[in-house]
Amino acid sequence: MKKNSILILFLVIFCLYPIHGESQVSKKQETYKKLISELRCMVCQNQNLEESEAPLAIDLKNKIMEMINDGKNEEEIKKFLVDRYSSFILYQPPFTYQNILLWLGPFIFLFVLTYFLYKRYFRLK
Amino acid sequence: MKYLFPLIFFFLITILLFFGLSNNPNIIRSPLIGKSIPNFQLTNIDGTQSINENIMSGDLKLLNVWASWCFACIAEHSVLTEINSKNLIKIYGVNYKDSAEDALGWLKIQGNPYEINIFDSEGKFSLDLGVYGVPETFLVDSKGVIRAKYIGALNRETLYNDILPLIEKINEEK
Repeated sequence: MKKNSILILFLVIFCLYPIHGESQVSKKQETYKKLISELRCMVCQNQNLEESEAPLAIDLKNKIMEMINDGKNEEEIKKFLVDRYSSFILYQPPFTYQNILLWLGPFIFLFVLTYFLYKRYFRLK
Repeated sequence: MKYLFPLIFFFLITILLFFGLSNNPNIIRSPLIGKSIPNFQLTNIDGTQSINENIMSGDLKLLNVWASWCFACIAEHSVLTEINSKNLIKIYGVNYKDSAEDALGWLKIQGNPYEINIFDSEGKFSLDLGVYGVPETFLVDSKGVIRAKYIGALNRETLYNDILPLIEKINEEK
């Protein structure tokens, strides 16, 4: 009986092993999908890498795949690309002093507009 | 007074749009400016000579990324030939994603202004250089540091108004 249960245990582990492998692959695939949808194609600037069939986009996709298979994480891959192509390659640009207006502009605009509308509202009253 | 705020607002938007719309979106400042040429291990086009990043030290030079399939490279070629015939600066070539046969044939037809040509058929070295549209030209100083990058075909205006003054400035640094 004991022998049998050990056998069954091994069998179960054996059966589960491919699932473990599968989950590793699908995790890599997920990272890949996420990255290529967040990165810009430098040639056709309003497309992401996922949608683009430009030769450079294909090269970059291959490079990203290669780096994921080498065990590089998302941040490392993004840094690699930003170091070469500037942060323009990211669809979501980082918050730096150069683009502070881009990030804060809408809020400033909203604030100013609200202020004037309030003033006007109370004046009309 | 009633019109003051809309007027200021109007002028602000105008100034913003004036500068925003006159930018060329195809020209993106390379983050590699001020950095050394990345390491590489390649050969020349016919494969007879191995080349690495060490050839980048020495003289000031232009590093021109080109391909035989690139139309803009033909447009730019007369400028490169002029640079060469007037001995303005050395030109090193990077042959990007090309076949050796095509590249050598192209040089035979168009003339060869290059001191040396690095054969980057897989485009890996160019990827490290952040190349996204051939032709691209880098100005590399004597220490192998990238000083400027010109995207798209070079023309005489860029050559005489930008590149040559910059070369003079770099030469004065020493």
